Amino acid sequence: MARYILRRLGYIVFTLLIVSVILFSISKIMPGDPALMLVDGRKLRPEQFEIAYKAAREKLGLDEPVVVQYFSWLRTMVTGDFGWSTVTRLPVAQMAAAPLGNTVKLNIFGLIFTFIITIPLGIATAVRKGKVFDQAVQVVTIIGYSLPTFIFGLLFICLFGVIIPIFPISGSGSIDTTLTGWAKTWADYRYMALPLIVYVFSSLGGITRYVRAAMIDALRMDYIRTARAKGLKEKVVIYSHAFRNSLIPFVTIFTGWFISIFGGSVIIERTFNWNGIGNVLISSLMQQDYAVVLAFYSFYAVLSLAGNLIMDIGYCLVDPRVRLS
Amino acid sequence: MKGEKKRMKKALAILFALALLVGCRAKTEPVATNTPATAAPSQETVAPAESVDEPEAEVEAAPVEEKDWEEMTRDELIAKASALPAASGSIVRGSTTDVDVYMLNGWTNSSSNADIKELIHGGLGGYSTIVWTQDGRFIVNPISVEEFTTADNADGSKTFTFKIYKDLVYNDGTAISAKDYVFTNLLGFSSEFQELEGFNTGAEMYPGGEEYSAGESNRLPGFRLIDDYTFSVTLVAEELPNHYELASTAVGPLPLQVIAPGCDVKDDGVGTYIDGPWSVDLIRETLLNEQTGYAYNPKVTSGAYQFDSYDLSTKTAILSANPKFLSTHDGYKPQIEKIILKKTVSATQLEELEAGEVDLLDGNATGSEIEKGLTLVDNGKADYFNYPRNGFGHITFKCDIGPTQFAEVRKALIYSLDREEFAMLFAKGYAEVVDGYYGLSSPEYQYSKDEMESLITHYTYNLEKAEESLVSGGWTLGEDGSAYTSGVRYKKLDDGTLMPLIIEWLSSENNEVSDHITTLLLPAAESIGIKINKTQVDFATLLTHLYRDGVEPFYHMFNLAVGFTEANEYWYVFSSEEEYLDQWNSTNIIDEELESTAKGMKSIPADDWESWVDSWVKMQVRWNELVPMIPLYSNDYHDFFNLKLKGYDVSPTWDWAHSIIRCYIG
Repeated sequence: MARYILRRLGYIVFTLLIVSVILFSISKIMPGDPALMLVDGRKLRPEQFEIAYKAAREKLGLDEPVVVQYFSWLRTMVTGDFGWSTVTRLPVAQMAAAPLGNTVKLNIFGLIFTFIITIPLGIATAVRKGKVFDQAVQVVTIIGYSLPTFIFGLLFICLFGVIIPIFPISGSGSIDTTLTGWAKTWADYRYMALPLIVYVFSSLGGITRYVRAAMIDALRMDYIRTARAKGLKEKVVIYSHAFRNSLIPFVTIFTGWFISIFGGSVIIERTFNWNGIGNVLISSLMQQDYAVVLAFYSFYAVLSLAGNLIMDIGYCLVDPRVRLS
Repeated sequence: MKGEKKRMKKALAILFALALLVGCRAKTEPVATNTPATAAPSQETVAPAESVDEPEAEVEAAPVEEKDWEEMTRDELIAKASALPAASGSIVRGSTTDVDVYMLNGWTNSSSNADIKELIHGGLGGYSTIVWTQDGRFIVNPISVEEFTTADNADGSKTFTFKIYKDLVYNDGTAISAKDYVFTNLLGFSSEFQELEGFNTGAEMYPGGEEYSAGESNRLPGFRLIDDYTFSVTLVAEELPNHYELASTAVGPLPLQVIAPGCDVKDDGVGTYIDGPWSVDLIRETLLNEQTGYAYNPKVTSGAYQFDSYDLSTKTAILSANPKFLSTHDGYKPQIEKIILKKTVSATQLEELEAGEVDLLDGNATGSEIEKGLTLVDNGKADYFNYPRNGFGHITFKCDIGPTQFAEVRKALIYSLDREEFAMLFAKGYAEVVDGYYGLSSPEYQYSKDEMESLITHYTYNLEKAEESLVSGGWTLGEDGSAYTSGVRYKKLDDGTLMPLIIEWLSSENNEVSDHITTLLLPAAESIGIKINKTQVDFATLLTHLYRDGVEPFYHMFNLAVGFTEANEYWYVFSSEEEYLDQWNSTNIIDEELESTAKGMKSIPADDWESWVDSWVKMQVRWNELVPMIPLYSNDYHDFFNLKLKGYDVSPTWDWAHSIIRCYIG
């Protein structure tokens, strides 16, 4: 397995180089002039504008040939310097740290709550397939699956923010400066409540149905009939035999979801004014802040490739029949 | 919009700077009490219009003034401020604009941060030498300036000398000296500051400013240090006479020993300079250190409020009342202990107001927001203040290329758009249509409204007139050069070629204004032979094409908005000089009459209001004939606030950041 992993790591490096060329090329092809964005305030006198613009091009390295710019960018990325945001005028790592932290926090909680709810629900509906409970869950989950996230967002804001005002409507944390310690932590986490509820609610449908389908397939297998014929308890049949075997496709989505921990949801973040990375990325794209965009898409490329490797290893661990070679 | 409103408020005031100057020279007290009544727009013109529904809260205002602040001495003003109740409570101000990390001028320019900077550093308030008044004037600050004199120099330049009071201190109790005032510009204009990406404009207005700014000299002769409490500012001859000269001398203090520890400001008879271990590295550490940098964490300030904290995670800034602040120019100091600035989402911010999560939402402009807010008011859950915008949304034409270079085409387009309907759709009645380069609250417009209205053409929706305009402009041919019958019109140019009446419109994405233009203008224009091709891009790309930054001229039409400032330099906006085209003169209109009228305005003395308005009207009439833009709407802004906030009183030129220092929690 070690050799396999080493080989895959080699592929990852090669793939990343190709991805980096593609990303960098796209950023160069896109319209607009980042140096211009840097020259804040249009109403500079002409000579001031020229000075500022020239300085901005030098600062961003735009006066160099594109190939030189690419290698310069690659070198800084490899050394952990992700560049400098032309909008916030801060190092990318500094300006993105807090939003990324908020995104990861929300996604981890979202992931935990989603799996805590959907796995038992998926199993329960599979076991009760076609019964009232199953049909009721199907209806609820299809609603969550079908309706746009922002509709839930506004609905929950109205419900829990205005009619029964138990959660803050927007923001990423408490603005009460008198709070300290646990009281502060609790107040901060209250701000996560509404985005979290929407996140979980809009995720229920997909995963519940996924788990349900996998379980239904597993429950149809001969080994389940054999287990029941052996007189094993139904709980043992479901959890030890059916569920474990349904885990294989589950590994695929779990890995995907794990990677998505670092990806923000623009809609949820904008609806609840949650200062997350999705918002940062979309704003950066709109404002041609390419250093931020390039840094994050490179980061996501690394995550995706590493995630695929982890997924393959996960298959091997979950299913003894799978051998890595 | 908020940013536009802020810029706009500058526009009013500078008009009267010279009048003030004359007044101040005549008196030892720097308060401009003798500004000619005719020179200033009347209170009604700059305060919220008569239509404003004065909330009841306004009636129960803070302590009653027995004397007008302009008649008070400095001691009386400070005594008045001291007599106010101690600051208490807090308000949360919501804005759809991000609050970013920079709390010092020179880097980003978010309107929320501009408000913070105004409150903590003073801006055109606090201890600045020149302050902005609620009725729209720049005056010498009676709280910070003990003596003020001016002198015309032999070389045509003009020197303004300020002696500041000795009892001014920062919020930490450190004394403020003239060195701190001079240091503000020595820092801001320095090449070292620019190396940190900091950028401040205007150095060329002062003798030696360009050389200093370029790093060619370490002396700044335009600023002289006379003694520990006296300094002077000189404006170069090229900038004079200048309608806005007094405003150009405005400067506030920055703590020299915090930003440049170990350094001193000296004057060797040639100009001021920074002596000591001054370097890029020094100020990189003191300004941009992630934890302690003054740009992020300015703990020593002189404004009415002081900076408490900024949370990058929640993008929230907290300010608190500066305990050492003496008084504003009109005898106030903060009565609200804390101001919290947070980002809000336009879709839900009024729900936040209802839920008590924010207390103040200013600058609401769209009809749906306003209607939602007024429902809260009707239900007794909020109060509001409304005021007309000093700016307008518009369609800009490029007047040097394609069909829009011809005034007949531009007129045909303005006649083809039902602007009343547009304003109704977009702002639901909370906007009006204008016919010139002004906003509803422009003081010149308010002052000359009747005359203006009689002189300009009101372009109402009329397809017949639109067609007539095209015919008079020679757009009478079809594609093959025969008489026009249907489809796209053509015009025979001087070189014999046929130009199709096809207009390339560059529009920004997700823009309600663009949607309404598409619905209302495109079909109407097509019916008279004008084809408009719409291209949607992000706003940044739109600006690239509007300002022609490294792109070939292609698009003829753009939609965006303009806001007027305290100082509107029309002489650049309508200049035909190449260096001002594209950027300042973004319509690229070149018209001798318009340009000469605008250029003539620069030298009108600030106290000659009548001449200024006469020229302004003449300029508007010509602009109205040329139609380089289609004005779409000038909004009626609405500020909604929690009932606990008392004394809130804003205008187009006096925004929440000014008003809040005079408010209290009731």
